[in-house]
Amino acid sequence: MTRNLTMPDGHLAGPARVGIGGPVGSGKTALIEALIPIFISRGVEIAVVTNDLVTKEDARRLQSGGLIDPERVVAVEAGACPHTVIREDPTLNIAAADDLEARFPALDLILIESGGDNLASTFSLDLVDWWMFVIDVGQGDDIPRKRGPGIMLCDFLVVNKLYIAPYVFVDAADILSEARDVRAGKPVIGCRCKGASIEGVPEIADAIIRNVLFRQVAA
Amino acid sequence: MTETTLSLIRLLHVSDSAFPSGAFAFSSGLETLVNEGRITDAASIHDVLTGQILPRWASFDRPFLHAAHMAAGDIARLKEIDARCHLQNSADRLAEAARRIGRSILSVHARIATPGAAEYRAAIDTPQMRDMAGHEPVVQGLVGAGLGLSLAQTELSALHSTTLAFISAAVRLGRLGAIEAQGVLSSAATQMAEILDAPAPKRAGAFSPFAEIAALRRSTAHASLFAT
Repeated sequence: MTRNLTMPDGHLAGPARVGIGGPVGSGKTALIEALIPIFISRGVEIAVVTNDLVTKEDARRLQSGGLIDPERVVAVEAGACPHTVIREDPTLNIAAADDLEARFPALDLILIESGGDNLASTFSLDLVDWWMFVIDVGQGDDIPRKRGPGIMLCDFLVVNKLYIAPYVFVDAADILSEARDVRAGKPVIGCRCKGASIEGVPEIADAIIRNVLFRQVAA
Repeated sequence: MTETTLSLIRLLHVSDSAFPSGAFAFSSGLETLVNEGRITDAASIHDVLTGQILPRWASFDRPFLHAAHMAAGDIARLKEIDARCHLQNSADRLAEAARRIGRSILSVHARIATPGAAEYRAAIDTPQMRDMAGHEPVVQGLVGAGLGLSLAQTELSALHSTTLAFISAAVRLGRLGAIEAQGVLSSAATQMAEILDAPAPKRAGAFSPFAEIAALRRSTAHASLFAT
């Protein structure tokens, strides 16, 4: 990534900032937990900002998981307004990311996890350079059809928990197909972040490395 | 367009509740008071606003804002004022809230090129200064001057923002309806005007123990909607 861009306020451009939004329980934190070792193995220096609704649960989970230096994880208490703190007034998150950037000058990437919200949740581009929206098959097979701004506007749509589809009586392939139809060519990926084998997560890491960090990814 | 018209437009711009400042995440101790059952309705919220929040702004925040507005452009002097604000604030949670809001406001004004904002942000953007500089009234003073607002306009904007943030927290805590909130704001207007019409205190000091102790007492073990 080019590191000597000068921003309008005179600051140099720092690490890329990637947003991860989506409804409560869709697997945003689990996705981050699955992405962290992949980024580390590929030499990407990362840090994480979490936005729990009313607790620091997600930050504590990441800090205690042993995957990342706990100092590289900060929680922003968002005042129970998960969409406000990533869209209408993202300044607390900007300040948290700025602090991480100052404390860890070698960072390449800051992941900013939103609090669980609804399908209307979107990230301000004042805050992030690129953002993903995570839904899961357990929320029902009509989620893509509902076409919320989160689903339609994100740079990358992640459909998580593919493996539970049979247990909630939905067809994962149909959900993915419908999601691709409503997004009219914008990227969609199915994934599994937990269990004996993960699926789709390396491809998500590759997409971030290629599209956000502008680094080459091995074919 | 006259200078007066331009400054009024700028005043409305920075005083709007939609202006990003991070203030929505703080309740100035109100959440604790609500959770403990000490605040239950519009009348008690009005009492806290007029008996605790407004007097604290008048006696503590206002002198720092006043000094910062006068010192705008003098980085060393602004840092001194900020340091004094840090040292005199005995409620650490409220001090932290003031820094988080102040730094947010500074960040926004640096991005939109308000004169003086980027320079002061750079001056306090060090690990040593992170926990002791960037307090809200200091930042409000310096950006008000940078925008060409008079001292009176800058003070009006700051008091309005403080009041709106508190009332907004009360609405989100479910103890005040959106229309009831307008009644509380309306009934507080006279006191706000009296505060602004009186001279600013020469020295900062605060005695708002009901709200301050509530902010300090906030438990971190339980889920909270607000950071204070």
